[in-house]
Amino acid sequence: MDWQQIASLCIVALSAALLVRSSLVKKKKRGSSACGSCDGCGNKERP
Amino acid sequence: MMRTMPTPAITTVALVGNPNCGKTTLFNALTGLRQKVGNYPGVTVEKKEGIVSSVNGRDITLLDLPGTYSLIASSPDEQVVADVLLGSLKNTPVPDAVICVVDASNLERNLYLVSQIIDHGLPTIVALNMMDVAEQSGVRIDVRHLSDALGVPVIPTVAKKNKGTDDLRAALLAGPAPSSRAMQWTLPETVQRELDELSGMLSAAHKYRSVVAHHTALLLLSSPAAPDEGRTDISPEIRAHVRQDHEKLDFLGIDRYSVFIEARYKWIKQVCAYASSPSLSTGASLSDRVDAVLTHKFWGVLIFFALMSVMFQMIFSWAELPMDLIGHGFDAVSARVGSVIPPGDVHDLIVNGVISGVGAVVMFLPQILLLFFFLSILEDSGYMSRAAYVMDRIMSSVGLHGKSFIPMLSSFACAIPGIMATRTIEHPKDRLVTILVSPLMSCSARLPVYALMIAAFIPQYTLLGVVSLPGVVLISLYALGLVAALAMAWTLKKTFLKGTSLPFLMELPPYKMPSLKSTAIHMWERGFIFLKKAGTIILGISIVLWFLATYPKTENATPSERLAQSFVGRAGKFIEPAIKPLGFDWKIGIGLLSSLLQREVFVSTMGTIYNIQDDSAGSMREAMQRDVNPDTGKPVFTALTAICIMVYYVLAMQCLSTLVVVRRETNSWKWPAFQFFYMSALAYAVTFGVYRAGLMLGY
Ligand SMILES: Nc1nc2c(ncn2[C@@H]2O[C@H](COP(=O)(O)OP(=O)(O)OP(=O)(O)O)[C@@H](O)[C@H]2O)c(=O)[nH]1
Ligand SMILES: [Mg+2]
Repeated sequence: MDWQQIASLCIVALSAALLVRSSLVKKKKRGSSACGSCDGCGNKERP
Repeated sequence: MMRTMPTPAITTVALVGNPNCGKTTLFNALTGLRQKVGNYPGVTVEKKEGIVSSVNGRDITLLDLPGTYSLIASSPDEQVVADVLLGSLKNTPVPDAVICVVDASNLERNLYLVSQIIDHGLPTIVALNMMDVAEQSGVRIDVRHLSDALGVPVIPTVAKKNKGTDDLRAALLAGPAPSSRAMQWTLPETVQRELDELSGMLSAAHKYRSVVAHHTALLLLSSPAAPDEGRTDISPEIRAHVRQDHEKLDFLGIDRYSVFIEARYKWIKQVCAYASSPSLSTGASLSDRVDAVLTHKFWGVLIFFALMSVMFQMIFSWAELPMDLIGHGFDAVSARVGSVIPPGDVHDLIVNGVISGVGAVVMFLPQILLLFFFLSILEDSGYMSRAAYVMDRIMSSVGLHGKSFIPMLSSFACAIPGIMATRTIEHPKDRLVTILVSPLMSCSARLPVYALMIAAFIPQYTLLGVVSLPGVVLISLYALGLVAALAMAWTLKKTFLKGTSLPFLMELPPYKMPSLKSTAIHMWERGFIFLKKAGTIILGISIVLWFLATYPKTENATPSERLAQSFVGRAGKFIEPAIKPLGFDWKIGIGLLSSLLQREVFVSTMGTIYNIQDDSAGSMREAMQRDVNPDTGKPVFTALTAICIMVYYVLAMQCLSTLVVVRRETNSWKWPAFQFFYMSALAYAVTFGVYRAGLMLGY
C-alpha cells in the first residue's frame, strides 16, 4: 500500500460516512410543517 | 379611529385572504423571508411561519396561510386556514390577531372572507393590497369609510413595492382590537333562530368555544346532508336535531346553502356602496382581448403547445455554448490536477471520481438555469392559470379538470412542489390521481440525463431550416411524459379511482410583467441548489462510486477488464440479463443502479466509469461514443440505445424524496408503493417496445 492508496481510502470512508449521516439527519428533520427533503419549491428560507 | 382598550401582548398573527391577493408578498416584506410568490391562485398551500421583529423586543410570529374564498373549506389547503383560526391544529396556537389581505381591485368578492373573519371575533386589520392595480383600473376606495363600515383599521398597501408595510407593522404593534361590527348581516328570522339554537347546543354539549360552535353550526346547517354516524365528534342528539332542522328549512323552501352567502353579500353590497366607487372603465380591456385569444378553444391549445416547444428548443440551443465552456473548464482543471499530483490512487480518485463525476453534472447548469428562467416567467406573467384553463378540455377527457394541470406544470421543476400543489384540488380522488401521475412529468433532474444523451448521440440535424433534431427529441420526451401522465390518469379514473369531478372554477389573474429582478433571484436560487447538490451529495456518491469501480483491483488487465471485475462491474453484470431486452449493457446497468434513488446520478456515474475505462484524452462524450461491446463488436451506445435510456428515464420512478412526500400527502405507504411499481413496469414495458420497434426498423 502506498500513501496514495491509504489517502484515497480515507477519503472514500469519510465521504461514505458523511453521506450516511446526511441521509439520517434528513429523516429526523422531516415531519412537521416543511417537507424537509424538497429542493424543488424554491421555498428557501433565509437564515 | 381611536381605540382606548388596553392592548394585550400579541404574539401570533395570521395572514388570511383570497388566493393571489398578495399575502405571501406581504409576508415576505414584513418578515424579510423569501417564500414563493407567483401570479396564480394556489401558490401557498401550507402554513409558513416568520418573525416580525419589533422595536420593543416583543417579536411577533407571522403565519402565512394558503388563499381561500371562504372559511368553509372545500380543499385541503383551504382547510388549513379554517383549522388555524379555529385552533384545531395541534402545534399551532390560535392567532391573537388576523391581518386580512384584500385585493383592492376586487373589493366585493374579497369582503366575503373579511366578513367571516370579522365574525370570528379576533382582532383584525385589513390590508388593502394591490392599491396600484385598483387605481389603474379606476376603482376608488374611501379608506376611512371602509374602516368605519367594517369596524377595523384598514391600511392601504402595495406589497410588491413595499408601500404601506411600515404602517401595517405599526398598526400590528399598536395592538388591533376585535371589530365592533361583527354579525352585521341579517339572516331570515327562522334561519337565525335555528343557527343560534344549534350553536347553543354545540357549546353546551361539546364545550366548544362560541366561535367554534357558531362556525360548526353554520357548517352543519348549510351542508347538503345531516351528519351520519361517521361523525363521532358530534353527539347523536345533535345529529338528530340537525336532521330536523334540515327538514324544516327545506320544507319552508329555504336554500340552506345559499341563504348564508346571500345574506353576507347583501351586507357587503352596502359596505361597497358606502366605501367605494365602481370602476369607470367600460368595454373590454386589453387583458380581456388577450385572453380571448389565449383561452380560445382551439388557438389557446395551439399556442400553449407552441410556447412549450419554443421553450424546450431554446433550453437546448441556448445552453450549448455555455455548456461547452464549462466542459472545457473542467477538462482544463482535470489536466492541471493530473499534472500536479503524481500517478496513483489519489490522482485517479480526483480525476476520475471527483472531477469527472461532479463535472459531468455541473456541465448542465445552463440548461437548469434556462428551464427555471422560463418557468419563472410562466408563473409570474399570469399565463399559468390560462394554461390550466385551456387544458381543461383535454384534462376532462381523462376525467380530471384544469386545476390538476397546475401541479403537473409545476412538476416540470420538481415533482415535490407539484404534489404539494395538489392540495388545492377539492375532490380527494382527483387529488390522488394527480399525485400519482405528476411524477411522470419530466422534472429538472431528468434534464441532465436527456441533455447528455442527446448531445452525444442525436445528430445535429436541422429540419426545415429552423428546428433542430436534438430540440425535437427533447420536446418529444417532455410530450411523452405528458401523454403518459394523461393516459395513466384516464386508466386510474376508469378503474379503481372512479368518481365524477366537480365543475371547474378558475380565477384568471391579471397579466403582469415578470420582473427581471425576481426572475434573476429565482434562477440564482435554483442554480445554487443545483450546484450545492452537485458539490455535496453527488460529490460523495462519485467518490464512493470511484471506490466501487476500482476495487477489488485486478492486476495486469486492461482498464475495461478491471472495471468489469470491480464491485459495480459485477453488480452491472448481475443485472445485465434483466436489462438486455431493453438494449442496455452492464455499464448502463451500473448507471441505472446508482440512479435508483436520484436521477442525476446517472450522469455522474457515466462520467466516472468512462473516465476510469478510457484513459485517452477527450471528453466523456467521446469516450461513450467510442465504446464498443467486446462480445458483439458493436457500439455500446447507438442513437436507439440513447433514446431507450431517455424513454426509460421519462417513465421510471427514481426519486426517493418524491416517494416520501407522496407517503406523507396520502398518509400511507400503499400509494407510493403502487406508484413505484406502476412507473417501473411502465418504463420497462415502453422501453422494451421502443427498442424492439427500433430494431425492426433497422436501427
Ligand atoms: N401590482 C401589484 N402586484 C402585487 C402586489 N402584491 C403582490 N403582487 C403580485 O401578485 C401576485 C400574487 O402574489 P402572492 O404574494 O403570491 O399572493 P398570495 O396571496 O400569497 O397567493 P396564494 O399563495 O396563491 O394564495 C404576484 O405576482 C405578486 O408579485 C401589489 O401590491 N401590487
Ligand atoms: Mg401565498
